[in-house]
Amino acid sequence: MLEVETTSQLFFAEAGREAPQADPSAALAEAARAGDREAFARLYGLYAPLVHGVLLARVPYGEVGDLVQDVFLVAFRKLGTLRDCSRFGPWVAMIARNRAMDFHRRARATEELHEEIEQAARPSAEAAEALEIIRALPEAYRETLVLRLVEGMTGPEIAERTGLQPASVRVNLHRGMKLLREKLGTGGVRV
Amino acid sequence: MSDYLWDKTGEADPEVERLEGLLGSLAHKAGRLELPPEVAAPARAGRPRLAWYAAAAALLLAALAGALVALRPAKLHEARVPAPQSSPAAVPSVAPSVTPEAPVVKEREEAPAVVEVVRHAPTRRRAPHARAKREGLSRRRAAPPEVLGTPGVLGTPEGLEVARVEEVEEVPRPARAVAAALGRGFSVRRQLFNALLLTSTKLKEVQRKTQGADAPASDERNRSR
Repeated sequence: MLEVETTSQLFFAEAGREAPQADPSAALAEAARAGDREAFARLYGLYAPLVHGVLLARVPYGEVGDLVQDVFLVAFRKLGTLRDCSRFGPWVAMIARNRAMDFHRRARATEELHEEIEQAARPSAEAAEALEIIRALPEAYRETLVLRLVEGMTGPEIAERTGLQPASVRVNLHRGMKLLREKLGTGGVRV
Repeated sequence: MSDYLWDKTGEADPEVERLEGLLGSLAHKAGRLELPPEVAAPARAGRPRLAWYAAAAALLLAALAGALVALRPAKLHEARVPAPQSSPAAVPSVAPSVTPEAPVVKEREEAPAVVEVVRHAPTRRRAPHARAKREGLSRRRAAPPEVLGTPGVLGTPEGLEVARVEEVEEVPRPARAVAAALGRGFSVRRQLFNALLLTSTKLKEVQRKTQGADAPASDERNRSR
């Protein structure tokens, strides 16, 4: 039985939590909420890898680029509903997760188009196979692993941007990596 | 303790490094966000509570305005009615507050003659001349006091008050003059009480109207007429 460590389970078990640091993105979010497009462009530069990773863990690679743009467009429009500007990362990550769910709901109608796009932007076979194995992992692991292995973010960065507890991210990284090693070994994929 | 998988410090894990190299080609490519120019700047979410505050303030203002309108005729009548010929001593100081709304004066047959001034609830209004005519008739009719004093006949029990005025011969003919004479002795406290009574009545009317059940209010008005 696969055991998935959730945030709530680790919330009180977190002993060595680091002190929260001043988040520069909060000021950017505040400025963007006041209508500053340049500030929002800087937010995009900071959080686009996060949104890309969240989407890549859920939707085909060829769709991710457009969906990233959609997510930030929605975020810009709904920025007025963001109460706490220091929570921009978790907020935009949630928009990305919802957008991925919408994509799967509408996937049946645009199936043929997806195939064409995937052919145009197809990653290398080995990378695509490794990504598929990661996407077959439980949700708590695959998002963390994609952010770490694909987007190159460190564990503390993942915790800060997603709003998860660092201890949760650490556990998910190690357990997910252990599962990934097992899948790569048993599946015969040599990367 | 260093942990390469956690924060990329310490001794590198070869398998993690290989995966990073392989999957790194799928990472997000830095670029600029293309926001269409027609996309409006984000608007702050409105506060729905403000609408409730505005509605409550409007209701309160309406109630206050209603109370002011209802109180104004009293002062107008006082200004219009000439000073009573009777001496102020004839008016007892314990007389309760009287508004010019429909005082009904009737004589008693016993000596000395006693006039009972029956006041209605302040919500009921009548035209001054019609009211005076009706009051004169009621005085001439000299109906028994028990009938007029019965709460169920003229209105709600709390709207009825009786004041006795002696020396009926000296009371000015229009009964509103008596009311004006009595009104001079009103205390501010009494007037405030009446204003509060009016406000609550108006509020109830507004509440009934907003709930779409204004039929009982109009029935009551017809009954009082």
